[in-house]
Amino acid sequence: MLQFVPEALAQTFDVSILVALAIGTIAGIIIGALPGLGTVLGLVMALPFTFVLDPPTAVALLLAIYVSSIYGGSISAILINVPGTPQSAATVFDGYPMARRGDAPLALGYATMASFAGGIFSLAVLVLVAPQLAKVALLFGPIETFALIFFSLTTVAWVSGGEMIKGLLSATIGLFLALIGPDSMTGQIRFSFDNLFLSAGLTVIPLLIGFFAVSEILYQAATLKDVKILSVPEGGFSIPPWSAWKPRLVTLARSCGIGSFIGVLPGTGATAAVFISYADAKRRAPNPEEFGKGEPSGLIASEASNNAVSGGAMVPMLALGIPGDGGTVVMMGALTIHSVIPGVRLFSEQPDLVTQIFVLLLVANLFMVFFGALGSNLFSRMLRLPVTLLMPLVLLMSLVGAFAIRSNPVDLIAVIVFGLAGFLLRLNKFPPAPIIIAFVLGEPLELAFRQGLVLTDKNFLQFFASPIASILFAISALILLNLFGLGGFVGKYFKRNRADVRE
Amino acid sequence: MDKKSVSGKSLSASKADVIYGLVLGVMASVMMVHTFSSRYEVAHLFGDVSTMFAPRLLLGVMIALSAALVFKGLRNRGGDVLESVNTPRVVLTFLAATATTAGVWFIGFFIAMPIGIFLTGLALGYPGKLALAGTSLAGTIIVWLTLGVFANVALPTGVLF
Repeated sequence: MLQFVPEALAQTFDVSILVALAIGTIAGIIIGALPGLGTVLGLVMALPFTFVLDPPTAVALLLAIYVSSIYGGSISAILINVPGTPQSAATVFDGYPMARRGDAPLALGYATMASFAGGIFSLAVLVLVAPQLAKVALLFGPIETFALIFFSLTTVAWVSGGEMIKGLLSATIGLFLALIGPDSMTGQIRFSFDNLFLSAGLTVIPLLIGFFAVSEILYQAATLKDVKILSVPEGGFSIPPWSAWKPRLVTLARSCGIGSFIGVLPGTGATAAVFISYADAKRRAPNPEEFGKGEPSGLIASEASNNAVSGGAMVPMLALGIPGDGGTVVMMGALTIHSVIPGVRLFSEQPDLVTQIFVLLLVANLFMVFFGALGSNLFSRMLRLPVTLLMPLVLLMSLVGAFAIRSNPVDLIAVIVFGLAGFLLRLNKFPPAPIIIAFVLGEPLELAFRQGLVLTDKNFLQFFASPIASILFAISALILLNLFGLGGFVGKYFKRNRADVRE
Repeated sequence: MDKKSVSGKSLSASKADVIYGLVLGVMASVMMVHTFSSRYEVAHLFGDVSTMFAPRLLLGVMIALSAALVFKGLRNRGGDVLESVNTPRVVLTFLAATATTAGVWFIGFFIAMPIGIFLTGLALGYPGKLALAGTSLAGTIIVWLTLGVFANVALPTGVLF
C-alpha cells in the first residue's frame, strides 16, 4: 500500500481532482448547513455529475461532499439552533448558547477544528484497520459472510434506540425489496407479478433518491411551520487558543475514538455516535452542569465524533463491501457504476485506487478546514435560503439523477412511489437508512445463507462451528435480546447515555 | 408539540403503531400466501433451500415484527401524538411532484421541468412567484448545460416530443 502513496499524491494534485475536491467541499458545506438537505441527499444530487468522471475524480467529489456536509451541519446548529444534518443534533446543545452570548466565531472555530481532528483520526483508523480487515475477510466463507451481514443488520436496529421494532421492520422491508426480481442462485423471477420492470429487480439509486430525497420534500411539506426567511446572525471564524484546547484534549481524543468505532460498525452512522460521545463527555467532565449552556467540550464531543464516523464508515465499505451508513451506500453505488466493486478483492486487485481514496480523504479534510474558515460568513448567509425554494430544486436533481442511471423512465416512477412510501414510514418514525442498507445487503445475505445451508447439508447448527460466525451471532443475539429488555447492560448503557443527554 | 394538524385531526403514536403494524402485517401475509402460488417450484413450507426459502423466513419475521408493533401500540395507549401534518400541502406537493414526473416522461425535460419546479414550489407555499419562476428556469438551464451539454448525461426527452 505504501508504495502507491507517491503516485496517489501526484494524481491528487491533478487539476481535475483538485477542482472536484474544491467544488465538493463548498457544495458539501452548503448542503450540510441548509436544514432539510443532509449528507445523503447531497450525495444523491451529486451522483449524476459523477457518471462522466473517472473513478478517482468521482470519488474525490463524493468524498468532499461526504466529509464537509457532516461539518456543515454545525453551522446552522450553532447560528440558528437547527441542526443542518442529523449528525449535528447534539451540536445545538452548546453551540447555539455560545452563539447567543456572542461567541459564534469561536463556536464555529471549535466545530471546524474538532471536525478536522475527527476526520484525520478516523482516516488513520481506516488506513490501519481496513487492509487488515480485508485480509481477514479473505478467509470468510459463506457462513462467516452471513454472520457478518446478519450482525450488521442487527446493529442497524440497535441504533434505532427506543424504536428498535421499527428499525428491524425497516430492515426487513429493505431485505424484501432486495428479493424482488431474479433469484441470484436459480434465476427464477420472484414477486414480479408479471410486471416487466419488477422482473429485472430494483436498483439502489432510485430507492435512495425516493426514500431520502423525495420523502424529504413531502416531509417538509407536511411539517414546515413558517415559510419566512430566517433572521440569521453573522458567522465569522475564530481559532480557539491552545489554552482552551489543552484541558479538552482527552475529550477530543475520546470523541474521535467513539466516532471511529461507531462508524466501523456497519449500518450505524453518525447520529448514534454524537449522542454517545456527548453523553460520555458530559459524564466525565469536571463541570457537567455547564453542558447545555455553551460548554465548548460539548461542542467538541459532538463535532469530533460525527466527522470521525466518516473514515470509520468507510472501513466496512472498502474492506467488506458493507455500507457503514447512508452516505457510503451512495458511494458504493457510484463506485459500482464505475465498475469498481468495494469488498475484499478491491485491496488485492486495485490497491492503487484504495491508496488514492486514503489520500483523497486526507485532502478533503484539509479543504474542509480551509473553506470552512474562509467562507464562514458566506455559508451563514446561505441559511437565509428558504426551504420552500430549495425543495423543488431537490426534486429537479432527484428526477435527473434517477433517469441518468440507466435512462429508464420507469426509474422516475420508482422514485415517486418510494418517495411516498418513505414519507409515510417517516411520519411514524420508521428510519429510512435501514431500508437502504438492508436492500444493499439483502442479496449477499440470502446468497451466503443458502450457500451455507447447502455446505452444511441444511444443518443450521453447523453455522456455529465457525468461531468467527459464533462470535458475531452471539453479539447479534445480545442486541436482539435487548429488543425485549433482556439484554440488560447493553440497553442500560444506551439508555443512560440518552438520559444524560436530555438532562 | 401542536395537538392538531391543519386537517383538524391528530393521531396518537400508539394508534399509528397499530395501523402501521396491521398494514405491514397484512402486506407481508399476502406476500407469504403468494409464495405458495403455482408459479414457484416448491410447494412445501420448508421443503428445500430453494427460491422461496429465504422469502418465507423473512416474511415470517416481518409478520412477527408487525404483530409486535401492533401489540406495542395496544399496550401503550394514551401516549404522545404524532407531529402535526399539513395534509393539504402534502397532497398538493405530491400531486405536483407526480405531475412533474409524468410531464418529464411524456413531454420531456426541457418543457416539463421548469413548469414542474414552479408548481412544486407553489404547492410548498413559497410566496414569491417571480423568484420561483426565475429559479425554475435558471435551475433547468443550469442542469441542462452542466449535465446535458458538458457532461453528456442523458436527460429525458419525452414520448410526445
